[in-house]
Amino acid sequence: MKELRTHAGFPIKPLYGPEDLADVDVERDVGRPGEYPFTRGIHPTMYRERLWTMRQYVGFGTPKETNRRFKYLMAHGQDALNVAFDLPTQLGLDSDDPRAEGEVGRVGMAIDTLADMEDAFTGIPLDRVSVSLTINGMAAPITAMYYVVAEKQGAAADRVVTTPQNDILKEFVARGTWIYPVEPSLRLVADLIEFSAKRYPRSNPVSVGG
Amino acid sequence: MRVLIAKPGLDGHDRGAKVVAQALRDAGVEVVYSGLKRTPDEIVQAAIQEDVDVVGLSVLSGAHVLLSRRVLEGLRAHGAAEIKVVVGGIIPPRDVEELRKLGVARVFPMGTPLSDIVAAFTKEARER
Repeated sequence: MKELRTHAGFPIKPLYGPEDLADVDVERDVGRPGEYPFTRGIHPTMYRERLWTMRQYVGFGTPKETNRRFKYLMAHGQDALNVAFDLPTQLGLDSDDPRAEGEVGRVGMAIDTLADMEDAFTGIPLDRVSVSLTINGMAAPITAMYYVVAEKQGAAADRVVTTPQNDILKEFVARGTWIYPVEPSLRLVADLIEFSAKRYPRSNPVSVGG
Repeated sequence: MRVLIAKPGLDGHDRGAKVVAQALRDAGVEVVYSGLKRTPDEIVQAAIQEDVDVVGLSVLSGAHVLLSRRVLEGLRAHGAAEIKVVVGGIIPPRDVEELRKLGVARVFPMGTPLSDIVAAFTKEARER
């Protein structure tokens, strides 16, 4: 019979039965839902009590226009946000840079300054709404701006829940929106994780894109 | 026949451009690939220096009208208006006519079969 292996190279049998469980300690090896090693899920009752967070990827034009869209979506049942930035913002270019011509506000909102970031989140309480920031090459400065906006709103640091994508490797492998070479890029990724873990304990400072 | 496949602007999605480049190569065409994030002027210079028959622009960011206009203007300004320009990518149907009016010879919106693209390149090069 043909030998079968998983994608990671582990050999697998064509069929498993009760005899294969002889050495398994269920408490230790499988555990309970919501407990290590999380084989049975990350929450004790999974999604029976509370559904997963739903947020559309949104952002277009200016921060003020995007802010109106955020509020529209939240008024229609969305309880969290996933922010789209335009390509100049993703690459650290100002909107008036010649290389940004034609791209400003096109696939997301344009952020040039902290004031832009404040406009984007005006009237959205960042100590209650969780926000995903879809950005990689510029994750560190954009997330820093986000933390400052939250601070200026008076949000307590331990109430701020944000998920910057911060997965630069995906940009090298697939999407091309990287700025620096791999090693310094990864250092920035790690710096943002370290800073966020210390100062913003409820943040998820990296979200692996695939 | 010689073509330049180019990625103007800031869009980093290069799979489509590379698929088209390979299909053209397999059809016996000499292909120059620009790499990512080239400015219109860099593309114009490369097209002239490499003496290509056709420039194929790949844009998935929505900036296709302005970037195509800049490349066409650049070719004309450098006396190279005989180099044909074709455009592919995420091109909404409403923009196809606008691109044609600018002087784009052919537009390949989403879903265009690869064989059609190769045939169109060959035809444009022959007509040059």
